[in-house]
Amino acid sequence: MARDRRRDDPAGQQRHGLIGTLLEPANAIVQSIVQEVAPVVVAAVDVDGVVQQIDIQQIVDRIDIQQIVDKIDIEAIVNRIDIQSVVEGLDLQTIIEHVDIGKVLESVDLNEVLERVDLDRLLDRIDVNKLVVRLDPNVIVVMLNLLLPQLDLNAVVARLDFDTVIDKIDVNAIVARVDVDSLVQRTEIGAIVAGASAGVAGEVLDSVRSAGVGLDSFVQRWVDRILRRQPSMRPSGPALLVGEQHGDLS
Amino acid sequence: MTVRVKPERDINLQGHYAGIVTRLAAFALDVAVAVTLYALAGRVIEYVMSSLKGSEVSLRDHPIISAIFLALLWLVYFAYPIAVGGRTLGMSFVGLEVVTKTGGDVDARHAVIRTIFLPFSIAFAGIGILIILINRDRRAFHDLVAGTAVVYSWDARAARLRFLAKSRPDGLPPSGA
Repeated sequence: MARDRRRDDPAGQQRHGLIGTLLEPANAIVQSIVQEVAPVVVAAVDVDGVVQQIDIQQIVDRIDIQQIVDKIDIEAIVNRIDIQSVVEGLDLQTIIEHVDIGKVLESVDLNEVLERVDLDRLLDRIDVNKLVVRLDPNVIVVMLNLLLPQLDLNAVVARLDFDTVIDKIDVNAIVARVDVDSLVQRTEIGAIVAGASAGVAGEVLDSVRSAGVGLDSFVQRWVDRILRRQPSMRPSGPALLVGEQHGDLS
Repeated sequence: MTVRVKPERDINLQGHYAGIVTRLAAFALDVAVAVTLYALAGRVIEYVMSSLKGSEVSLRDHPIISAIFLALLWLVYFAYPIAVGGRTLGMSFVGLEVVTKTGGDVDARHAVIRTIFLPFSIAFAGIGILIILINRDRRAFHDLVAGTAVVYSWDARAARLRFLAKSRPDGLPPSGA
């Protein structure tokens, strides 16, 4: 309001014009003095000494870096970067040539990497049939030759479920393909069959012999009891016929 | 009464020392056969001698000749089949075989010595036979002298097949029966 009053006041306008007239030469004088003096003053100031006296660390400590970072619009910066042109400008070949793969691999703990790998899932995704079909048969043979000596086949066989395997075999089909006549001629099956089909006389003999063996065992058991002798301590037969076996099986 | 055959046990017992029951049974059969043969052969000899002489000849009247004949028959009957096949007729029936004490095949020497000393086992109340019960390897006196042993030996596999054929679960008659 006071200003408005001054603007409207013609006497004030006259006073302002007078001071302005006085100030303009004064400014010019001051400016010329500064121009003359400033270089001399600047040259006289020891800037290094001043800088050394400033505690930069204290200044840095007082700056709230996090606040500054928060104010930066990273997304806007990234959006302005042309990643494609950056990548195109890279000489990847040269970078790769400078990388020491050996050192990289040495620093990698493969055990830890492998522990993290889900082998089951990995193997599930591999089509082994396709893989094998693509392999050169000679390569397969070489691989098998290398692999087989290291395999514990006994352990493999021990893990096989033979009952399941046998269940899947059609024994009747196999027997149907057997040349029985040739088998009888070439083996002692014929003699066994002939001996086995001796009829009633054979059955009588079997009974007599079996009964005799039973009676022998019965008598010997009682004798061993009377003599307080362990049957297992007796030799079961001559060495050539029963080996080192001891004791009766009866 | 049917005797229960145990084929698996019998197969496992092949080559084992035979007991006193089977050995006595085999011996009894052999004695019966030998006596029968002696009687038959005696009749034949008497008939031949009577024909040659023109008068009736009886071995009873010649005890020395009769004894020599019996001894020869005994020796031939027991020693020859054992030397050739390891068993007499009675042993074949019961399923026994004479082997050396180590289990090998017997030869003529073993067979003859064994046959000669067999009567000594029977003498003195059969003590030579009864030691089968006491002896760990079930050898009689004549076995000890001759270095032989008697073991179970028959085709137990064929017996097992016969047993299996007889007890077929499908009810069909056994083949060859």
